[in-house]
Amino acid sequence: MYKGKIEFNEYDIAKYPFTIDAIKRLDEIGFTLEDLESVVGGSISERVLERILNAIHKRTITTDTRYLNSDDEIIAYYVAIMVLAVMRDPYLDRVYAVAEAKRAFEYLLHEPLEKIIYISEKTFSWNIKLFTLSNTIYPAIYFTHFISNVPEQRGLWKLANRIILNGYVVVNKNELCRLMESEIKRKILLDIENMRRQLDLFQTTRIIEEIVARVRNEWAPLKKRAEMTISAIAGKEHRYPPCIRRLLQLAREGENLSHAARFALASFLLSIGKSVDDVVAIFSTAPDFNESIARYQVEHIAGLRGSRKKYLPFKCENMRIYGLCYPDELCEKVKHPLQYLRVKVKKNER
Amino acid sequence: MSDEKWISKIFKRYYMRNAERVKEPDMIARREFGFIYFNRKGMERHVSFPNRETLIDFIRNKYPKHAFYSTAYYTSPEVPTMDEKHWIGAELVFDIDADHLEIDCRKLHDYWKCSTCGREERGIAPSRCPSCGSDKISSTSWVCPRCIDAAREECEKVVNMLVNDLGFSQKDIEIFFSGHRGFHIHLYDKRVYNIPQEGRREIISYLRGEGLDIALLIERTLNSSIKPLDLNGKCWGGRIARGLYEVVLTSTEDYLKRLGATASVRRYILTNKDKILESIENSDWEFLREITRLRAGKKSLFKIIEHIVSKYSAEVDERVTIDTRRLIRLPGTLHGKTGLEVVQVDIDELWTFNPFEEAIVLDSEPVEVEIVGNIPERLWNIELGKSSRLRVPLYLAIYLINNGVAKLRRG
Repeated sequence: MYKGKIEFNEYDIAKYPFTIDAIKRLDEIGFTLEDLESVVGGSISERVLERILNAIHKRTITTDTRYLNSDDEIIAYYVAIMVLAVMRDPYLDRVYAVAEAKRAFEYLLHEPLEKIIYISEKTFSWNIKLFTLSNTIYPAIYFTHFISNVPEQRGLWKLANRIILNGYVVVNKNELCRLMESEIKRKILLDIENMRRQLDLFQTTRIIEEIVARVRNEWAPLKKRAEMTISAIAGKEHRYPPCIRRLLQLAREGENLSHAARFALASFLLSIGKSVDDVVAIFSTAPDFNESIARYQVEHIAGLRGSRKKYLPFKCENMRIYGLCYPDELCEKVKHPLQYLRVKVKKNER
Repeated sequence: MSDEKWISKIFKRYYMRNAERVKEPDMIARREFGFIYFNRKGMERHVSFPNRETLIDFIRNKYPKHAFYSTAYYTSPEVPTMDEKHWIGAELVFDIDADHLEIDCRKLHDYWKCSTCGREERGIAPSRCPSCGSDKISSTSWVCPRCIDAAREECEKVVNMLVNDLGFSQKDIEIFFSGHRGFHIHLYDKRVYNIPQEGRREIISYLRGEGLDIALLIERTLNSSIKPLDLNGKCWGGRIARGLYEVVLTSTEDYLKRLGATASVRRYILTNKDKILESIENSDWEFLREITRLRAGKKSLFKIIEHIVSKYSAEVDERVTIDTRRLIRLPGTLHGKTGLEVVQVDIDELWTFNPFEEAIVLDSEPVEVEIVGNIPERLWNIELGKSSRLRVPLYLAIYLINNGVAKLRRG
């Protein structure tokens, strides 16, 4: 819906290297992999490495102002995508995509509304309208974009709690940026996937191989530790209800779980006797993991903090409302995920 | 000749002359079809057709008992594995089945029997026998005009929300009588084809009013510039606003009591009736704040709103909508259990559509059957009486035989 002319300059392209405008600029630059071997290439390679390592260690990507209006930044983004494509590690893909999306989100928050709408329409083909409610202009996004990008399914992220005008969900700027963050994450995963499909078409160069090797060095131990902790803790996982098994699987793959999903998983595991340490470790694979926050939250659920109330896991009905229920046949007999364990054990004894 | 064989011959004869009635889905070559045949177990899947003619020929030659097609579009619908089919997108469909609705008529015509202890009763089958606790329960269920009315009501709610709330055009929506106890709503709008499973689940959630946060709704209406409660609103906020208006307008001591309002709340509403109605008309919701300050006021208010939500929420079978690889009945074919046609219902004629006239396409010549099970006294506008031998129209004989309560009498 944004009709006016909008300035999308070099600075913007550096901030949002996944946009259509950035791809167009990349074509204009005419960058080739051979250029990486040159003197200029040296600093770009450093930036590629920095981007990925930032994602691994800091879970977001910091930006050195040196790069902020330079073509190097967008080249670095695409080379990073190439490195990830070569590495073929879906877990790392996700960690990287989440970090890039978070970086973009932080920038978007400070942009004028027109620019946010411009990106969402041009790069993601979103349908957005503006409505005036109580003398304030609000953006409203077509509901399919809304439901596909909500970070979790409760409170104001539930469609039922929104004002919808003819299929368009009224949001505020902050919410619009948050919804875009999900879309950006998906776009980056898609970029990596597409690059991976083209891998046969070009030869990786010495520099790319070097970056891959350095990333692998730092990533391998972290990945291994995370995978081992989850397997060790989960234990008799085959007895768990399918909703919990799915959440464990997603955690293992480094998926960024919603608040409700984390609560469901943590409260379930605590209820069957896992320790706070074990449960915190499960979340260590989360792309935005912060041990002290995670520990605080898990202790809260365990009833060791705050109201000292031990929280019970959601019943099936609530799991369904939060979009977390993925039932199998046995689920018809239970109303609560904890019941499933009992029924399953009984069934196996028979 | 077995009864099944006899029915299959009727289907064969029917399709010989009427296969042209089949309404093929759009982009037919991108769809997977599935069929269940007479005297054969299981479903033949992964069938595909390049065009309408080949589909019609197939139906005519194979006269299936049940015919289905995929709501999804695939690059290669004929290959057996889902991955290789390559999913492109899927229609958005809603299945409304009286089977999933709690309606009184089912107590009159449905019937169940426990295979373990032999207890038998009229009504909706329990999941476990109340006498012996066994879960081996067989049941017969019937469809009557009241079942259809209940399904109609849900159907209307879904269509209303799709059009008014979500902004779809009525011309992109088609309703089909399922051939049994309900309706299928198909939405053909390319904007929905790519909605993933989680998104479809959220749409169901919306239709049901699930996850509606009443406290949040009230809080935002009272304290924020975006006010969800709005008499003219076309989403849940509007529905709840109108519901509240109606509750206050028609309020009596008894009615409010039944809704769960406490004495102080009832007194407040009844003494301020006109004032409240006027405030709602002027989008002034301050009276809600006053109610919440009364004794158990918040609780009463929540109960009233919960009642409104349950009245407006639509009950659909979520599995059908969420599953983006589902097969659904092919319009224009016969339902193998009832022999009724899966027929399109004009949205404007939803309430006047009579399946027991318009979906009956098989012959009505009288057939003699022997009753071997429990039957309702009246079925599809026909009095059956209590006799163990009946002369019924052929189309009804098929339904009785398929439900295991009648056998064909030959001679």
